[in-house]
Amino acid sequence: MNSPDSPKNWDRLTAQARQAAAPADIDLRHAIRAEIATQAARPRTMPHVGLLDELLALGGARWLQAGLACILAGAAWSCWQGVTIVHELTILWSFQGPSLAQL
Amino acid sequence: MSASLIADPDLSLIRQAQAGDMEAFDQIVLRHQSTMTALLHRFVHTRADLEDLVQETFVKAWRGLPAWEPEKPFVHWLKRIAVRCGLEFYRRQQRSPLSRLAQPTADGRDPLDDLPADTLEADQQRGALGEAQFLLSHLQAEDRALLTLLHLEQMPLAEIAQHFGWTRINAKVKAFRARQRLKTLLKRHGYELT
Repeated sequence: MNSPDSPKNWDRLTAQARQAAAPADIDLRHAIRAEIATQAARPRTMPHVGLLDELLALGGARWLQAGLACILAGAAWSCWQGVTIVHELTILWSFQGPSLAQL
Repeated sequence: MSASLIADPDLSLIRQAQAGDMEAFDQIVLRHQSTMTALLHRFVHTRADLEDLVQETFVKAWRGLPAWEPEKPFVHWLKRIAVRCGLEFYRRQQRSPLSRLAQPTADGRDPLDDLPADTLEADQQRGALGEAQFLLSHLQAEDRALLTLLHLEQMPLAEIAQHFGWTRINAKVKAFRARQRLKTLLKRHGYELT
């Protein structure tokens, strides 16, 4: 860790952090064996969880959110334009309708 | 038989484990758990989380053993599972507001892990790791995992790309963007990045 009198430096911090020793007394053989036995005993549930994780993570991506916002804005603009076009078609129909009806 | 098949010291044990021999898998765990612990130790700051991650790695390895190809070094395959477990852990943590990292205390001791360090130096090193992990915890899960491997594990970018299934170019772009975000973050916390 950086000492209080020196400016905080990321490279120095990470260099010191890399020296931190991992616990040497970890032995998980029994726990792993028990977990494997437990998983083998129960039916496999929710294999889609990994996929769900990926999708949720993707949902947080800025580029995807920006893309969806653009699509929504485009859809809204299209709808608005669509309303105008329908309105114009209605007017045209009101002009053409009587003559078409006579055919 | 290729040279890699002969060279891999785990091959006979893996073959036995693939056939369902748990004793053989125990031996594999015994051989590699310290390597996986050392790698995953960079990702988490409490012993309980570390044990969970190491366990998750080996359970996934057991399930994935039938798919292991002898052409690929076993340790490399195991590391890939481990770093992906690390990334998944970060994603889970990101979704859970209760599991945000707490800022390390001024004396360098992590408030969530009160195990006493052996020496003052070890205490400072653990404090530095906790502080680096705390700073990285402000980033998105993918950036956090990438920078953990780059800065704390000093894993080459090409290897990180292989583990996460990215192309080298994509990995370079991701690393560049992650570093930019880290720079902003460090500036906010009063750090300089040389």
